[in-house]
Amino acid sequence: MIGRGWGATALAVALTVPFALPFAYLLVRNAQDLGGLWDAVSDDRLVGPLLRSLGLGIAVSAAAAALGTGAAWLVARTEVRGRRIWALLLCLPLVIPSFVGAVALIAAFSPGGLVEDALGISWLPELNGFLGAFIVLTLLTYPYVFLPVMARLRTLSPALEESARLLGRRPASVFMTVVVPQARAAIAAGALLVFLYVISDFGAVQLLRYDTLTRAIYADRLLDPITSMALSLVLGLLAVTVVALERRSSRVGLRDQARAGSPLMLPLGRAAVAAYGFLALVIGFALVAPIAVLGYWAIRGFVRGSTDSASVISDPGLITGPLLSTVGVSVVAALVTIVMILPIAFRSVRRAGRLGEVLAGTVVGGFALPGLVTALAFVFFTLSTPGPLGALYQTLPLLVLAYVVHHGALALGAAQSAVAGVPQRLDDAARIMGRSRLRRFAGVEMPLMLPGLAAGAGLVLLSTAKELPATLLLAPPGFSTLATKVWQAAELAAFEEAAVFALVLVAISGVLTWFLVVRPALRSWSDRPHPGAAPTQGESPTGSRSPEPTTP
Amino acid sequence: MENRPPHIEMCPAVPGRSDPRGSALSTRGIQRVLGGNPVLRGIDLDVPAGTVLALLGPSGCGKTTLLRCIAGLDRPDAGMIAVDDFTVSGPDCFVPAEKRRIGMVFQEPALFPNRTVGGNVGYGLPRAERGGPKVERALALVGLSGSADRMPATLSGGQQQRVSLARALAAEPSLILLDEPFSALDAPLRAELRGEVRRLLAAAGATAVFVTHDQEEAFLIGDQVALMLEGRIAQLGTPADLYERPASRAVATFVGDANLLPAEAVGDVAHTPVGDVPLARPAHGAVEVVIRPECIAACRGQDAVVERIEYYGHDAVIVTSSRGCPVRCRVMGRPPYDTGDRIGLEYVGEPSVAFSA
Repeated sequence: MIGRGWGATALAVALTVPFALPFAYLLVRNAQDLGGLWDAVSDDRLVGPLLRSLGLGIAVSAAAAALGTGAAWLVARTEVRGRRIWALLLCLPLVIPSFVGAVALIAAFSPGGLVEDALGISWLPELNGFLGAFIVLTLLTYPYVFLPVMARLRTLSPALEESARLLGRRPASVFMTVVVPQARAAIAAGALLVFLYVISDFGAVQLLRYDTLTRAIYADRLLDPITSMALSLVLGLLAVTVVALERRSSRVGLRDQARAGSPLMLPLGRAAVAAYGFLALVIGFALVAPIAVLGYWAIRGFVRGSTDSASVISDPGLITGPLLSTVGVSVVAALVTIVMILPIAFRSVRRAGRLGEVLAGTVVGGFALPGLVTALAFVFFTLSTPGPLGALYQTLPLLVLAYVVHHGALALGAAQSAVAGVPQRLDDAARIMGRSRLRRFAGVEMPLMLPGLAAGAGLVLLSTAKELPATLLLAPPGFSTLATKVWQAAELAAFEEAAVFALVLVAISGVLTWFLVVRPALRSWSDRPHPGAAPTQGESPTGSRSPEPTTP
Repeated sequence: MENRPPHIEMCPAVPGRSDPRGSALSTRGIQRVLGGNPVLRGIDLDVPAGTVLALLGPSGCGKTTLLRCIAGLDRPDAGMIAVDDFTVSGPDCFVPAEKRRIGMVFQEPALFPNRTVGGNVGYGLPRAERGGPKVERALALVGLSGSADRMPATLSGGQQQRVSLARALAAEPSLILLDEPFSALDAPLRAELRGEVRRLLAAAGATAVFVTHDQEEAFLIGDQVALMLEGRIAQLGTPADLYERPASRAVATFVGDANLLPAEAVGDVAHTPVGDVPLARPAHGAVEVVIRPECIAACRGQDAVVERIEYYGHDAVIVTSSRGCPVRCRVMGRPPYDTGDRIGLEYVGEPSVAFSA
């Protein structure tokens, strides 16, 4: 039986090794040079960036928690019209990668940008640094709070809020004394995911020039690799701690009460203007504004033309190369991930025990490690290893392996659900009828698991298509994805070109997000509620109910 | 849900009320349409202060919707609701739930899991009184003295429901609504709590509306029982009124076990397959008479054939066929008959009710 014998265990353990590799390598390298580690962590090179990472993470988590919770309450508990459409639109900022959001912000406020040109505002605020990063990251990450809180409000017994109202409390007091305490676990889980997203983020802070840990790690990687690795270890430990906390908090949040009837919907009355205004502002700044800015630059670029013959503006056909690379490498990464993850999923589901938990935890740990750190570990590992392993540096196989390690947990949750969804008695029945193990797997289990595995592969595909730092560090020379094209153009302040690539990337990400994240979530909301209901697909790899995990 | 008049928080008293004792709750012509279906089709009710009204009906008859309209959790499409002579819901007035001073106990205990028992009971009190004697008094009333510091999750289902009742009582509401509060509990606990709640509500002098689909529960708890069928009040009266003098066939068959026997009425007597039955109201011609199974006694005779015996232990129902008409006859203990025996039947009850056939 797959997942039960010694061979299966050995296979699962072997396949888990790559997921542990980056973190293990960081530990070993830093342990070999404890003096360098101590130097790096004991002075300003660590303290400043660490404090900035923590500060930005806390500020964005708090703001996203407030924004996401408030929006979820408005949509789920007031007589706001177009509830489903608002819910859908409020999820959509998920499709915008952080570096695209940062490009949009910079492009909007740069001289000759949308704000100056179209709105005629000549005074341009300085949005670099903390403020810019805070705005961009908050607007792009609040859905990580919005979605779990929506799910929690859906399962929260309406009788609690009704009791509170009948006992004389106004809606605002009910919100503070009943709704928030009951949704606290969901809010906390979402906020921790946001925190992880922010401390792992590379694109936005780099473009907006805010010196967090990731920016320091990237800056030091060539000249001061020892500091870079020390900081990577610190960031990695921080991220793994956050994921451990998140797993614990979301587990607590799973106990639910029975639920009867539909919840009390608050009439908006005179507050309607404020409520619709709030929702419109959130969606306007988080979704409409970035796309409008990018569209403005792209259209203006095509209207004015470009003198640079190598620019996508003068030759739109140049989009095909990065587009095909993005799709191709993402599909390969998704397929390899599923193949590597499935034996691990089988082992951890079919045979309960410590080892299965360790294997699954290792895969989740690979996800927790920021993409930049994972990629750097692979860079240092291959560069310092002679022989065939060293030859892997800046080759496609290593790039795909980095994607698999970083995104494997996205597929693991889906694969575990898929494996758990195949009743053991079906296998027993096929066995009694004399089918061999292989034929049982191909004929009985695989068809049943396929939809779940496809969803898991889709999540990997989506996250890989948006991935930036690992691609920057590990892609073979000349190999460009849409993400790296956006990045290169933005660094040269070629916003017309950046906008074109960014819009194509957002379009791809939008389509995938729609099918993989938004549609399943909306479908589960429109079902008649039942106790403990939560979106089944798109669960975060860390165990919470957010739709899509953090992949800055 | 659309085009509603704005909330008006203070409403004038209902003019022209004459009941000297005063109704704690009165409703007039309440209508509610949900999803295109008329759920409430004109509900008129008066609940005198200090009494308990049991609202009885099958599931889906609209009784919970009515309760939610009274509580302010739902808004009627037409009609008027007054609590303590103040209109709380009318054509251009709607007092929000938190301003109605109405307590409610739901099917589930609905205790705030993050608050202690005392925190739950004190939730509806002004800030200064939350830690005070009112909380302990309310808990003592439901037999849970000294539990104020416990968390709700550590209590049994029955205890949680008691706390829920204490929470509603502590705020000293004008009216208490109970929406099938025992339906989630098992049978022995239900029976125990029924008696206790009846005693409690009387001790507190509370006015209450108690929703249930269980006839026994309605009869035990209600001073008055309102039977609701398909969005209307089919009959409002004391339990004895409903049982002995049902207003319609539907009431007769919903409340308790009933034989509806074809008969020929002549004034205040009806000739039925079980002999002559006195009528409470005179009637003439072909009628159907409502006869409770326990109002028929088995005696020596040949008129009826025993078709089967339903033996329940403390009593039994003899299912007979009398002149081609099925007749159920309830006796205490085990009847000394077997299937196929011929017996006689005679009417031994109070004057009954007839409906024209």
